[in-house]
Amino acid sequence: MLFLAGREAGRLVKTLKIALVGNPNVGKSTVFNTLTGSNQQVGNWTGKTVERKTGKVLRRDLQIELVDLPGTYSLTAYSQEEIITREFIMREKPDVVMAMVDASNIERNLYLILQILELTPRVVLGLNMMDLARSVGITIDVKKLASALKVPVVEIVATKGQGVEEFITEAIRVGQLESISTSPMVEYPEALEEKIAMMEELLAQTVWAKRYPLRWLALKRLEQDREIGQEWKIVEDSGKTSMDSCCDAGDAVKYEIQSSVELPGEALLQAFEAEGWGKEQFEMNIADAKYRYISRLLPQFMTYTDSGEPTWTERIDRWVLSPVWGYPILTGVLALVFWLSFVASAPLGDAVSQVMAWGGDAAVKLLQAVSAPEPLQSLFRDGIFAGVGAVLAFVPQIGIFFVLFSFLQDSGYLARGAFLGDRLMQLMGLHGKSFFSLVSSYGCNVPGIMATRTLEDSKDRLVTMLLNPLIPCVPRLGVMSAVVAAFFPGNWGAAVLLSLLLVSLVLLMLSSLVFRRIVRQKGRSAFVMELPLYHLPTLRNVFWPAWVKTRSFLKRAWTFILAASIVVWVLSSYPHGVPMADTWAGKMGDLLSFIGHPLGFDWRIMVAIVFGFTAKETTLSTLGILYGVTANASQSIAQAMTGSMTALGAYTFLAVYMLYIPCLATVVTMHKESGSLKWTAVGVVYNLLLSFVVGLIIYHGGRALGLR
Amino acid sequence: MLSDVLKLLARNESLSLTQLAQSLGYSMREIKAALDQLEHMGYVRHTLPGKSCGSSCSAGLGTGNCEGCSFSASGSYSSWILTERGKEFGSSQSKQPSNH
Repeated sequence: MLFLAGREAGRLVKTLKIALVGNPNVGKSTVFNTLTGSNQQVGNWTGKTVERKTGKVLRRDLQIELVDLPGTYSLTAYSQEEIITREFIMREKPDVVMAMVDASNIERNLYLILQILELTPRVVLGLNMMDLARSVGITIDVKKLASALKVPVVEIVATKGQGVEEFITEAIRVGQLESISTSPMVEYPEALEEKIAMMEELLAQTVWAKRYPLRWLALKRLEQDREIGQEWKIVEDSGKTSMDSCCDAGDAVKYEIQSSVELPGEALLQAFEAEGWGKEQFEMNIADAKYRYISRLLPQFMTYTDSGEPTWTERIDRWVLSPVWGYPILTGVLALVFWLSFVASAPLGDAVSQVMAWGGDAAVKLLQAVSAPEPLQSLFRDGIFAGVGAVLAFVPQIGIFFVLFSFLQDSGYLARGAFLGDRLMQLMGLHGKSFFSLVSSYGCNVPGIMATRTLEDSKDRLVTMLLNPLIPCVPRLGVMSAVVAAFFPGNWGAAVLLSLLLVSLVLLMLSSLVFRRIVRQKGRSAFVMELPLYHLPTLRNVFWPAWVKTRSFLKRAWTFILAASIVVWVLSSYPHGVPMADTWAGKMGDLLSFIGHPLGFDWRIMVAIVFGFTAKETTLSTLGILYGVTANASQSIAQAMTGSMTALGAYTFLAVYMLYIPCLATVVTMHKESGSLKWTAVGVVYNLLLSFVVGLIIYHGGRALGLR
Repeated sequence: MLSDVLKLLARNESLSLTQLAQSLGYSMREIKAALDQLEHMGYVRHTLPGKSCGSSCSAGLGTGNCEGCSFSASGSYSSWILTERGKEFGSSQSKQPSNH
């Protein structure tokens, strides 16, 4: 273990090789830097892109070669980092392994330690981040941990350099020991132990058994680890002198595979496979046993203060996540959000309408003062101020909606809503991840469709994409709320909006069954969700996201909606001097009357719906212009529309508007993300047909029931 | 422990971390470690909704990965989803008795 390296200043110098191992972000580099200072070299592991660091540490008559191995979670051959770490310990046989453990995440970290202990007993544990562990209520008894693992343990605070010297001193002591007794630590299930013993017996007489610990070799053979059995050779590179190990001088030594040998035991593995013990079963059972073993060890040395009484979060969740109470609570919360957003905020919308009306009047007076031509005055009054004003009138509603949404999000409740929503997804046979995409669509369908990228299965993705437009986005909800405010004043408004949302949910579920059948989709995947603790939201987390979203909405009003308002004004004003029904917009409405009549819509509604395709908010500005609104937008729309439409007609319009073809940006995104014109067309046609059929059912069904 | 998690998820029932821990009789910290291990082995996938949300996502006009951005700006919760491999293994295991 100990090598005489020569004489230095008349003194005998011995060398010791130490490997520094641990999970990523465990503080290894800090310890390495503290110990080596500037006396280190950085290079790449040959043929790999993983950084390697070596350094020299001098202690009395000892010259220590310290190798900082890549951060890794295990020693199974899943990644380059794992293979490199394992290869170094197996082939270079360091005198001692300094294994670092994050005390605040000890359950995970011990898995690697158990694997290292199967390879070598020459291990010293550095227990780092004890301060962090204490802050989350974890207490670890270092002596008991050492006794449980049968290795020395040193408590360190790497960032402050505390305990680092004791860590290396202990490593030197262990490295200089002549021998250390080993005993198997992890107990595997009986059925697995039998198979390990059979494999051990088979491998005991081979040359491999002399190179590696027999039990470890048997485990790796059962896992059918392909890296075992590979013969490597050292090749010298670019004239540099090869030294003792791979890590003496940067990239001085390279490894190459010389040959790959099939280890004995193939027939035995096949016999196990026939019994249902294949590669996966062995891998899983071996890992599983280690985690069970860790679970049994933990109480011996660790106490966690959070293990007693249920927390507030747990108490609230018993109700909020209950299969019985969870959904009524969710419905109540959503109803309150809609009531506050779209009904209670109505006076604010009226105030904005008043301001816009005064603005329109002032602009027209100014234009009259400079003797501007009449069409220009009309453009400002009937086009820009009527159109943009109608949209701006519901900015307070949108703003309040976003504030409440952010409040629910930051408080931790929205995550619970998403979790409950997954049970609905289950009914639809959708992937759990689809829920995130669909919920995102309540904000905007574009990011909702983009969120389907995280679905691995292309059919899952397509179905979720096709369902996305059935979720009413915020602009759609805004237009709907304005129409609801006009036709269903007071508390009825929230109930009407909630009923429409329920209609969309039911149709979403039915459509899911249709689309799954069409694309022949497989079953869904379940998920585990880590829910945040409930807490009082901060003002910044509530108002900043709400402001960002509202600002984006305002931006659209002043750019896109303004342009659309001008176009609609031109279409509804020319040919000049004719009644509006004979203008270009009127003729467009006439052309579409064969669709509108069965639904009880007049030509203006049809034109507004068509313009809504460009951006959903445009529907409201178009209605504002076509119904000749100049002041107090929502009330004027109400008065104008109620003259030509009944409450039943308005409800039909709301349902059709909620379900019909999504906006242009959504259609373009759907085409881009699906890469298929065919499926984009299927989605658009489906939405058009669905909205028409639903509209027919509501309108004629309502009339048959005597509703008006 | 690991196979029990897969067995439960193979029932196609989504769970909160607390529910999963209570069902299996382990602490949440142990279950979290087990899920991390299962992710490492390729049986589940860890997702952090909202983690990658940029300003374009918060404006509702996202051009990148905006998963869950409209309702999760802070990425304050995460989830582990069963992969195809996990689904197959979990289904095969659910036919066998539990070791727990």
